[in-house]
Amino acid sequence: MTPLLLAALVGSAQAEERRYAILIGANRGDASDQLLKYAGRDARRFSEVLRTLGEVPAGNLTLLSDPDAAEVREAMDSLESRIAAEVREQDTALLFVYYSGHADAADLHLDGTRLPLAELKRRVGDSHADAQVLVVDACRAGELTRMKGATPAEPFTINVNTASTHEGMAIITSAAPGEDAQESDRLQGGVFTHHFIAGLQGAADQSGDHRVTLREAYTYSNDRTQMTTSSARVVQHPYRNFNMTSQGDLVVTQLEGARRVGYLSLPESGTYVVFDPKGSSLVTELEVPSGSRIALTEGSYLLRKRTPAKVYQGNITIRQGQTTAIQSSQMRQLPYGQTARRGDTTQRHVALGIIAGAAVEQGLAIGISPSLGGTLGLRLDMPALTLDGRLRYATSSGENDYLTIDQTLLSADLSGYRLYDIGRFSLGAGVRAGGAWIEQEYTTAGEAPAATVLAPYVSPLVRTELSLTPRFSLGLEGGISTYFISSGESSPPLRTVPYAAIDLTGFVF
Amino acid sequence: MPRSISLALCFSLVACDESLNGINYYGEPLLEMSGEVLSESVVGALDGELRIALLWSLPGVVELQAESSAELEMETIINWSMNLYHPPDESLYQEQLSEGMNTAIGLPVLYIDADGSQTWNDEWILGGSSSTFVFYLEGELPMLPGGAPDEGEIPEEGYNVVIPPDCNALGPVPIPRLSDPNRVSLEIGDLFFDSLPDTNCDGETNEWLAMCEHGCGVP
Repeated sequence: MTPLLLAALVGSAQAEERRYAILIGANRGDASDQLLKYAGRDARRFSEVLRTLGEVPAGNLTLLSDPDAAEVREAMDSLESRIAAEVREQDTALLFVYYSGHADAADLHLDGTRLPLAELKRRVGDSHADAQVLVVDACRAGELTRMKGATPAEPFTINVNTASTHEGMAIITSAAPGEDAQESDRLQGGVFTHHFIAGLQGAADQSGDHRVTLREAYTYSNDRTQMTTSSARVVQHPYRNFNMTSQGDLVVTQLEGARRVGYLSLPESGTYVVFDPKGSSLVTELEVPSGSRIALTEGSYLLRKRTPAKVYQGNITIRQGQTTAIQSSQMRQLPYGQTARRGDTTQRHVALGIIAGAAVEQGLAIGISPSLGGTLGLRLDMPALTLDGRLRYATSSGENDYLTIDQTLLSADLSGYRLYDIGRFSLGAGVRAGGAWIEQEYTTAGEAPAATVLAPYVSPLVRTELSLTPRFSLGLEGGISTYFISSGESSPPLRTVPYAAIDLTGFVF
Repeated sequence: MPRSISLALCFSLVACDESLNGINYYGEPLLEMSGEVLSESVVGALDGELRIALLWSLPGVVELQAESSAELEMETIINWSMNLYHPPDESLYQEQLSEGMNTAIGLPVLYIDADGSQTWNDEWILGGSSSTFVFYLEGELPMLPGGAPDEGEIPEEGYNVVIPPDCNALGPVPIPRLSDPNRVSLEIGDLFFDSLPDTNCDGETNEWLAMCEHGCGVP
């Protein structure tokens, strides 16, 4: 063997960084714990990010779904055996351990079994990996934003053994000691994990070097978690304890050159939400500065940009290794009403509009023609309900051989209805209630004094709308009004008549 | 919905007891008359629907104008009621007997609505009222010799149900006297036609002759 070849052989045995990961998603805790919805999904999403961007080979990923304590121990022992066998002396090994599920200050709650936190800490710290990253997002049942929580035991704090023989351990928890952690139906995941993953995908890349370090990811997720939970009962403060002796900050994800990954370039700062193409499943939500670049698995997505008062929407396609840029001008602004109903804006959650239209209603007495008139009102769209108040003026008439009847109606009413949005269309139902002042004047050669009646009414209604522009919507409404009024001596004090209306809503904001 | 609940809902509103009117409302009746039909057995044996018309008398006119310009209700063959909602057309006014005074005279008649049209159109007259008639007054009655007549005895402006004037106590014009109350008996056949009212005190009843142009009496 020539010296040159020998040197080449020696050079081929260069140090490598090997990465391993165990991800645990536990929706089921103790029998008394409420079943979580998103712990398993959080673990799967985290594993996907580590695999595609975090340079953790699929073979080095262990994903556990609702395991018990024994299964966790077995998985950790197995992985440790592999690390010990595979990592050479010159290599560097990095171990990620992630847990999402129920816990208290002493134990992880694993499908009716318990794994003491002290044991978890020891196992991670004693790993043959040079550096360990332990991320814990603990869960407990709660309201719509479920409370993931610690019981009133001692505060949950993982201490770092600074005398470890390894390079060090970084510990991140989703909440400060003694605090509860939360799931979010809107984010479809744990609040902290959602933002942590979004950060790793590029939202946390403050330096713009297309790499996301552990500190960057923590800083981003810490800020976003506090902001997201600020509207909930309890603000959640992620907690960390970094004790790494390695030079520089630990790079968790590389945004360049990943397989099946492309990039979304966002020239404008703002809050962006990425959905599947149908808009039913949230992929990620992130708040980024201008010029940000986010890594996404190749495919098609629905992108929304949320501002304080407006929402923009557009479809994007991410291709492997390519960068797709999109600005607000390339997206469609969503109608104000739909935006308010979704509660998508970051600050303003209602839309106020002015309504003008026309309505026709069957005559209120025998032989009286349908009344035709105009309506004017105000409307308020909210996430749960749309309210509108209207004034209506209408006229109708009738005649017989003795006299002519001219009828004038002036009414005021308030309605509440729920609209469901399907693209540019909206469908809904509700009820309208109000009072009408009705006057009949008669033209006759004989005597017929004018009659004035006040009548309350109630109307179940159905409604459909078409968003013409973000500010203007065309509405069609139909219903059946029941007036509490007599229309004859022999008739009961009720008169039920159908009506139809058309209107145009101009949203002020 | 129980009436109690609907009234409770109307608690704060005005005029909850009022109602809207449809085209079955004719206005306030200007005259309400009711009465009975005599000779029940004859009425029961006739074909066709019996109806009542108000036959307006025009002096010097060969034909009488008549119109069933009223809502009437035949509750039974014996009892009837009729309301008038319009004043008579000016073309039906009598010759002006006094300046500023317009009158019209109508006779309730019972006719056979052979064509089922529910309106008068030269029908067969079966009978009517020989003792009372309808007197429409517009303006003021003239002063009678001897001073003002007693109130309650003379017609007021508008419709009145009256009995023929006392032709022996004439003043400037023959003034009919009020019938009290507005009850009118209708006679069938000769009971009616032999006793037509002399409304103008001319000693004749030819103001009603034209009524029989298309048939009178019991067929």
